[in-house]
Amino acid sequence: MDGSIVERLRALLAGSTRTHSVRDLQRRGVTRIPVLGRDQLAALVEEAVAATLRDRGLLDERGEVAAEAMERAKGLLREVGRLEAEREASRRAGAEIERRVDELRREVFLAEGRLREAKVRARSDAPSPPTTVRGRIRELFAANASNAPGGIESIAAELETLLSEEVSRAVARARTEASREIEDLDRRVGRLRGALEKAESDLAARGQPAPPGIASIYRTVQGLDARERDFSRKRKLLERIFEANVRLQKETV
Amino acid sequence: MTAKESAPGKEAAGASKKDHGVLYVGIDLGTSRTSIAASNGVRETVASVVGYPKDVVSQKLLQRDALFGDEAIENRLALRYYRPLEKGVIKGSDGKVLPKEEADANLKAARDLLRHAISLAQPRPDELVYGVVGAPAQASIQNQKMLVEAANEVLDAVMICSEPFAVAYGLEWLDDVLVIDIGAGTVDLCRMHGTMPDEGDQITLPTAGDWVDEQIEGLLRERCGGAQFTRQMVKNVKEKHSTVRDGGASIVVEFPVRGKPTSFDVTESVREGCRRIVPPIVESLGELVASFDPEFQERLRNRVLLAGGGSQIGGLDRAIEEAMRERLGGGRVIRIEEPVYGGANGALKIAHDMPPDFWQKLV
Repeated sequence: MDGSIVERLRALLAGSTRTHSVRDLQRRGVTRIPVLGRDQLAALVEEAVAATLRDRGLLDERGEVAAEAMERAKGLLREVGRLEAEREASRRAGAEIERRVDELRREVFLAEGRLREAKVRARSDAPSPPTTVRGRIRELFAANASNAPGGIESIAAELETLLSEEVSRAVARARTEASREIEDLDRRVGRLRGALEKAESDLAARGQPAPPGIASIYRTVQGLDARERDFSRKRKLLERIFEANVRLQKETV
Repeated sequence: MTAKESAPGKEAAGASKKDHGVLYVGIDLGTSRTSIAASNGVRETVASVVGYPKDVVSQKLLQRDALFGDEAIENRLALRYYRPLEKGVIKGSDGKVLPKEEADANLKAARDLLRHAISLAQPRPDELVYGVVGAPAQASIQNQKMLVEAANEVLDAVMICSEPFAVAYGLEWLDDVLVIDIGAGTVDLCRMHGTMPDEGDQITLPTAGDWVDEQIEGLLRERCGGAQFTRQMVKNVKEKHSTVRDGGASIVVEFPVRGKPTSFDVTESVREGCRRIVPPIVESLGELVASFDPEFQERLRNRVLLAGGGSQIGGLDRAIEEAMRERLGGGRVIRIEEPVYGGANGALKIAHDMPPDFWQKLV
């Protein structure tokens, strides 16, 4: 043990000791007290520490730190450093996977929304059955022509045939395009779901504590996007809903 | 989740700081089913029933303070059993005078049901939960207040909006469209013309799913002599076999007769009961079309959206079209892709699109 430790022990003892006057002690009936000098005390502590270290094989015969112990300590320090670096890397990788999971979840959510919209669009884009075309043409001719009814009927029938062929072709084209879009979106949703499942299982495999609940795809409050179709009309509708709710909340309070 | 477990939303606010993000939820709190769609991709639906153990014995058996949905239905004999909504609103909020105890119990059940629905969306405790709840088109202010009161306790901020409007908004059909939202308690019809629908644009009919159950039950009582069945059993038959189509497979069910299971062919009764829903709907469609700008009436007739759990009756869209042809000279009905989630999806979209400062004012 080097001298600085003994000095520190002395200073520690000096700071921790209390003093009593002889008169005080006499008043309390103390006439004899055992005395141990600070140097003596420091020497005893030093001896006890050295004996313990020797017993544990950390000091050699000359009282110096054993090379083996030193090596072990250094090894342990290196190990601690390595583990800390590993933990940090693992934390970063976990955060990255979690971010990816969030991102995939968002993509799945948006793709599913687009798929739903495409399906609705596909159904709503299909025009009304061509049976109404005959009625419309008949009305048109009745209002604008003074031909005999048989003539109008034959023109209407001919026109209807032509139109319905054209409409059928247009519907077939629209349906093909719509179903292609739906198929693409279906495939995309499938792929994204697969990627999401893999990322989630990676996260679980890394032993990251699963966050309670499922995170929203939004980190901040959103609001209608100004680039959205019918932005101003939607904004007005939302304002109306909000105003009605403010009134309602006031009354509820 | 039981009623005693910590609820998401406001009640958990003290437990953790809500700085992770914001979860939007759209809720269709219906008489028969409650559906929720959330911005974490979760969509769930649960039967709108709540049960509390009747006594210590059932509490010990069920190990829960409250049961919801199918679980509550299965164990209803051991429960104080509530269907807290009637005609789309919380029982007791529609002007009907209920004993205070019963009204309070319904409000509590509705609140617990809402809390349960939100828990199904699995929100993180560190996220704000903002929700839009759909209400019947003509829900009174008192109805809406009670909904807000129930939702306020479980959400960080809440707004109420008309259910059929939410359906149309969700599908981005804002112009010249008629929405028919068939629930268990009400059929809501709403005319959209680019602005917020007002009273004249909306009609609410009581001839909805529960009413159809009643019709089928009446027909079965007449035609299935000696059969023993409850309204719930009729509802189950309807949910499995409802149709208005001619032809198709026969519907054969078993009802006990003096304790002995006996087969009955109920095809005609189910079909006839289901068909009775069509005339009042088409009558109301006629009213909404006739009072619209004549220039756009044809367009309106050809843009009819059919939504809600009741719209799953087989062939209903075609049956309404057929009746429209007779009554209105034609029309086109489109059944939405996901009838059960149409309202919740729309409410979720409204919640998402609502500007941040609006939400801020309601927190």
